[in-house]
Amino acid sequence: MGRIACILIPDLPIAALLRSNPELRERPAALCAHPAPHAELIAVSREAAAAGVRAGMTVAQARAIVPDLLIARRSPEAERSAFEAILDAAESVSPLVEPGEPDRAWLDFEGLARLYHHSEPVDPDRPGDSAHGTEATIAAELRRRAYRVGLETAVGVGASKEIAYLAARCGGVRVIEPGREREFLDWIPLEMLDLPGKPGRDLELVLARWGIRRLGDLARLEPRAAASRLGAEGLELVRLARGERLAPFVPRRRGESIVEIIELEYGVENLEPLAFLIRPMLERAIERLALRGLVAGDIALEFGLGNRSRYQRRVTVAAATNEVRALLTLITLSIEAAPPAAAVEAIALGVEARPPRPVQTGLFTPPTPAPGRLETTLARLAALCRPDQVGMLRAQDSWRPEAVDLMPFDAPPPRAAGEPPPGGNITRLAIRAIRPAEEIEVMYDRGAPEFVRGRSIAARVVTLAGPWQRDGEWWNGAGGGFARDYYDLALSDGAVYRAYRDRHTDRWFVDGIYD
Amino acid sequence: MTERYVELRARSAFSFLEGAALPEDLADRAAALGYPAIALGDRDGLYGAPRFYHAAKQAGIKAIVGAELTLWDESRLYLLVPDRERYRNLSRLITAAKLRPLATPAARSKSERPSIIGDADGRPPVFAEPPPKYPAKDAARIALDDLERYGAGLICLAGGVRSPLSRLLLRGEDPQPLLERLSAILGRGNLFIDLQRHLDPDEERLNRKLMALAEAAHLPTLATNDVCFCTAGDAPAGGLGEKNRALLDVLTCIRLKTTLDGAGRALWANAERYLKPGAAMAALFRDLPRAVAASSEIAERCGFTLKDLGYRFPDYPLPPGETPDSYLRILTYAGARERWGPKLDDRTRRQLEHELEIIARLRLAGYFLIVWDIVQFCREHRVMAQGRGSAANSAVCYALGITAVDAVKMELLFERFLSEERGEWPDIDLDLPSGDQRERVIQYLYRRYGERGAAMTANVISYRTRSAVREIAKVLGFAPDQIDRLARLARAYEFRDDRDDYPALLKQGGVDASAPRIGMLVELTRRIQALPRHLGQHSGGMVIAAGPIDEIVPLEPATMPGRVVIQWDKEDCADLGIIKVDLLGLGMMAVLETALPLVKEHSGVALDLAHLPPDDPAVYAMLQRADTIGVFQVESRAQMATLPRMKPRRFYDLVVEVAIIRPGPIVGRMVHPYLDRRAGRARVTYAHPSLEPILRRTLGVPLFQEQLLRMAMVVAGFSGGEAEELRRAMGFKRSLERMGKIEQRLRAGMARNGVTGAAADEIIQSITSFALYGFPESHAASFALIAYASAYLKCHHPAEFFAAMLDCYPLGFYHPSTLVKDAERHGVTVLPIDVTRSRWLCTIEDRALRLGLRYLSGLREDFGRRVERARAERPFRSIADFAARTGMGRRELDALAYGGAFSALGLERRAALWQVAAVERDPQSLLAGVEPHPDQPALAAMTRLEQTQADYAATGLTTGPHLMAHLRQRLSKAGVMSAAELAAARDGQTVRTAGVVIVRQRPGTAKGFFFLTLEDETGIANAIVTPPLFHQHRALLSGAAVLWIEGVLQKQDGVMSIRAHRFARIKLDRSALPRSHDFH
Repeated sequence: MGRIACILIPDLPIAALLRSNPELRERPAALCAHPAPHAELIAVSREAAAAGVRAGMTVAQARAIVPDLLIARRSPEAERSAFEAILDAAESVSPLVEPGEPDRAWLDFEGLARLYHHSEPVDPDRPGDSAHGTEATIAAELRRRAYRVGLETAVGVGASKEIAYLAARCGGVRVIEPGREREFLDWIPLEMLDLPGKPGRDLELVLARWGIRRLGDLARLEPRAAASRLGAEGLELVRLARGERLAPFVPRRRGESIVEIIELEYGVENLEPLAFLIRPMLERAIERLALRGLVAGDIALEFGLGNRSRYQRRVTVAAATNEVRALLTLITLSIEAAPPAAAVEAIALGVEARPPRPVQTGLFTPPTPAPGRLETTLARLAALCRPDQVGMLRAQDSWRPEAVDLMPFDAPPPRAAGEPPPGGNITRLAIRAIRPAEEIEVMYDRGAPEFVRGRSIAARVVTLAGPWQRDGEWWNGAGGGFARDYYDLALSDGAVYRAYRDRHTDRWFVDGIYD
Repeated sequence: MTERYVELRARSAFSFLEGAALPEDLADRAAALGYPAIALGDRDGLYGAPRFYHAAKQAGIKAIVGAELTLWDESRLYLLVPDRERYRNLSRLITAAKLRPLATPAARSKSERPSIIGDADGRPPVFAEPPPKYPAKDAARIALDDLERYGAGLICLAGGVRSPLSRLLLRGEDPQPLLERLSAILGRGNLFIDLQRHLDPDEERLNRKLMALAEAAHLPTLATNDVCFCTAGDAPAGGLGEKNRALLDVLTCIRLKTTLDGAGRALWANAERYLKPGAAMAALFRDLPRAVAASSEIAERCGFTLKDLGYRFPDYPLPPGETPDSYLRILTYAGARERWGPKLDDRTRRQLEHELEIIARLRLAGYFLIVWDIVQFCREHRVMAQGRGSAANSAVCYALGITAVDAVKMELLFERFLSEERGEWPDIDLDLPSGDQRERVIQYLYRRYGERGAAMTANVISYRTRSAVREIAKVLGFAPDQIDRLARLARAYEFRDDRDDYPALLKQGGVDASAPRIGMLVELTRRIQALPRHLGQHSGGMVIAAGPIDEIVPLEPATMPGRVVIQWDKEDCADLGIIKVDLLGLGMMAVLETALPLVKEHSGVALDLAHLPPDDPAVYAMLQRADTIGVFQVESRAQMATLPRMKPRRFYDLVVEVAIIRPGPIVGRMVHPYLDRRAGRARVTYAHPSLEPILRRTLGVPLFQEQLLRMAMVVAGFSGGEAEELRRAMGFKRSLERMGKIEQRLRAGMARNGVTGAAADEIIQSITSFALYGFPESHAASFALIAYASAYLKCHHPAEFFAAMLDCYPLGFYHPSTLVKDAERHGVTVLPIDVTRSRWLCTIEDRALRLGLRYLSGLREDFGRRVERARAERPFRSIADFAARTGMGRRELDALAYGGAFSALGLERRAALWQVAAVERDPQSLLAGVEPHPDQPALAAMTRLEQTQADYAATGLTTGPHLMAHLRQRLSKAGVMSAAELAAARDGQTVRTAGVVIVRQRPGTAKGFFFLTLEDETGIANAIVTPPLFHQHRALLSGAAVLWIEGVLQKQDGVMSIRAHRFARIKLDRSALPRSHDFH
């Protein structure tokens, strides 16, 4: 048996919050999905728990107990980042790390003792500290390093991943000495196992009826007899209880990316020579990817600059491709949008590997636009505007005409040969929308609009149709709903406009011109 | 021009989730706008028509009957009724779609399949053959054939966005063939194209196409507004926009199972679908004056109203040469001789003659014969039946065997039952054993009067706070866990004060009621509560008619197979003069019916309910001790608190006991004066000497409705009919005005008779205190008979009584776990479920009660019956043998083992669980029945506490020690008394007790006090909590399953309760505890 350590972040959501906001460490804090008064708390900090706040309470209830309770929204990004930090801490201790669930990772501790010297006095009374004092010391060091990256963790060390995890669940540093695993496991209550899903709940019910509360009770069952009664899951559990289950330790590389680095003997200040240097790096990376049958995804650029600072850029590649020209264009556009502050002296180029996307999805469907060209065009547009302003508009299902969503651009599916255009051959009245709607001044004659004046319009109303009433979204509260009287106005300038009066504010707008 | 417009297209909330106005509100609004008439056409039915008709009649306008029917292609056709013949056709048209049998009745699932076999006693099957299956609610569609059969002469409005013609036009298809077909079906001059203008450009485009179509086909156009709510509503400042529209949007979302944010254009584009003034409609259609004028022309053509229904009660088939009156007389006297003996005394004969004379004058003999016929059927098929309600005032009913109360002996008031002045049909309610027996009687009526000749009345289900909160919160986009929480907070007890309003409950629950969406939730919840949600089935009301009922009112299938319901509820029927017979299922009747054969079999005593030993001292001693768990009507906490004070000694005391714990006497403060006078603590006085004959039996305190009526007749000179009118006014909550008028008449009448001043005030106070629920003496007497019978059984045959109670559960006040413990306290040994002995139902074994398999949670009846059959063949050898022969799955076997049902096979529970886990569960397997490998079980045997908890978890009760017995040692050390020990404590002593909470109650009449009943191994203890303490500890008191309380013991007249001031939860595994009976 080897030696495995498990590093665990208890209560990851709260830990991630405190890591991002260290100033909150002493304050009672809680997390919820939306910080509304009726929202329920998902997790609470130690300080808040000490004051009596519990997960499941509403914000209003919790504030009734702790008036200055800090309420924050749960952040998956912060949690991801916390997990990455834990992996960094783990890799700084052991070269072999297996990422697990978002709150835990395993480390191969076998032989680590030889790499580390005793830096702390051994406490013979502390479990696992006499014979395996070094392991306890390394585990404590691991916790310290995790603390340095802003996280309070628990570390367990044992003969297998399972034992290490259960030891970590006990909190602090817990080393299970070789030969004492059964003693430790016998004590573990079943609820500590967090059996997943309905099968897990069913198994828990059966075991509870059998009077089995701890792993020690389970270990006394004969595996063959247990297997015939509890099935494969039960057998696994019995084997775990008997210390016989050994999930393989599979150290994994973090992220599949190809990195190319060069250091320059001189500083490069202009984009053109920089692109000239990047091109062969990109070609090498693409070549490496191609050998593995993969294509390039997002690209991470890092430049060492003449002023001793670092320049980092991430180039998003929505449609993975191995076309060097297209990728180079994306890179140059990205650098162009935010040039480095000083001359570039070192270049690191990391390319994420992705599986290739088929250009043609079916035998009888025409190919989609060449991914390279599409990406390049979109990247150019994004460089011109902002990336969040490039995409496709989709009308919302709403009575409010301007209600649209901006969707990521996705080429419409190609029409098969002979398929009629959407909408058939019906001639439709087209309207060009004016976004945002232009406010106008309207003069009336006996209650009907007679003259219209705006920034780009000034004309007499020749004829009109309306009012057409549209209102709704009353549930969005005061100011959230809309109530409008729409009119089609034929003006003396020869054009037909769509205008509306906002019934809440009594202001007029023109929001479209009929073609 | 204004007065020429009549709104012909309106839908109410009875279009279920498509309209936001009550029919009454539409009628009132129409009258306020000066309409001479208005039509109501709800979706696929005439559900709201009676209420609409009465409201319109009250408002002085005409209510035109119509309906919007969903066609085969999901389009809608709007039809109006010009005359009675067309009304019948419309009703039959709707029924045709609703009751069109589905093609595959065999596809029905097992659980839905009703019993078509007779029972073990050889009684006939409930159904002669499997009843047909009909389309689900909202799935019935009108076919073109239906229209061809019944559509001729109906007036059809074929415009609007949902009409079949509009749908064809919008799809660019040719509507001409359909138009011609509809014209041919409906007949000349009956097809109109209605145009609607809701300020919507798409609709206006459709209108142009419809106008062109109408012009081409030479059809008249008509202006309508497709009304969905009454008024445009309030200003939008409150965030709810136009509130009526907001409510309609919410209903739409509920119907479409979506949220407001997700509904998009499924909501109407604006709020124009309200009942507009005629002038506004004329202005909207100023270019089409003919379309406006056509509306009033059509309204004039529609002369039919519901007044003209043409309902007729069926005739009873008579022997040759007899008239209904003569035949009734023969039957009455035949029955009378059975009841009173061969020689009738003068008083009885006079009473019978008096009643027969009135019945003849009112031409009601046929009705009595029909009810007698039902009772005869029950007698022949050994179904226990007893009339209740005002029928018990009648000696004729008693003679005919309809009721069991001797109205002559009890001097009951016949006029309360029948009055010439009222001109109403009498109300005869029959109590039947709930379950199959009642179903058998209902099916008999269907067979006797034909499938279309009898039907159940409907029950309109309205939103309650919790259901409203749940649905509206979903629509407003709250997350599921938030919805659960908001709905939980809406839980309220019967008593409500300011702190029980939903916003206050939200605040107490930590929800910010001022948050905008919460504010909307509160407002919409309030507004939706009056609206009907869907149609249910009344528990027992049946209408019968001389001809097909579907010519009177549309019929539709009930959820229960074999049942058909009409689209109106019982109030609608009563208002329209449709006769109903209430066949009410009474759990205690089923108990009596189950218990009597058991008594005969195991005690050798043949009991007859009609001839039980009267005034049995042991029974009254038991009642005086309030030892009444399980006894009909007198088992509640309040009844138990009264019995030791009341000390009933004879039957009439029981009649009073049944009637006295009712909101009427409680609110009217009659209870204490009566008990004080009875105990001799107060003098018997009368407000006026003339009242003495009326109130003598109740010691000068009015307790019954009959007394109230007689008082009015004697002191104020009211006639019998006027007195009955008085009763109705007071039973009718909303009619404060009516009550005021009647009070004036009472005072005037009393003044004429010289009753004034304090005496008059006292009489008025007595009468008005019955405003809510006065209890009729006849009804109390009927109930008291059953109460006495159940008390007699409990007292003398407790094993059989409790076996029957457990078999008929759910009924009554207490959970089976309490019944079992009470049975044990009465010396009955209750034996646990045992696969080698237990049948499906409970049985008696050597004077002990053996629990039936039905008490094993999750075990279906067919499995239970399989156990009975397999065991009858040969005994079970082992669990493997049991599993193979019963075909039970792992879940059922596990539950049996966990509940200790295999102990007779020599298996401790865990050993049984161990074996169950190893047996082959598939009965088809080659290994079925093969004994599993005899692995040594490694499981420790259950402790006694674990066994008790397993009992509760597996069966909801225990035949072993009570849960509290396991805690007793520790509790005693902490100074906690058992229920039995409390009896020895003194009044005013501070005591502590603890127990499983079995009842929680906050009655509407108790001014906010909260009542708890705790049970331990020695009995039950009652506690009272003051309103402030209740609010302070609401969550704990409403939620804790096992409670520790401390308080001051109060003892008075042998009644004991604790005025609690401290509480704590005793934490135990909640899944293994019985649930309390909470009154909300």
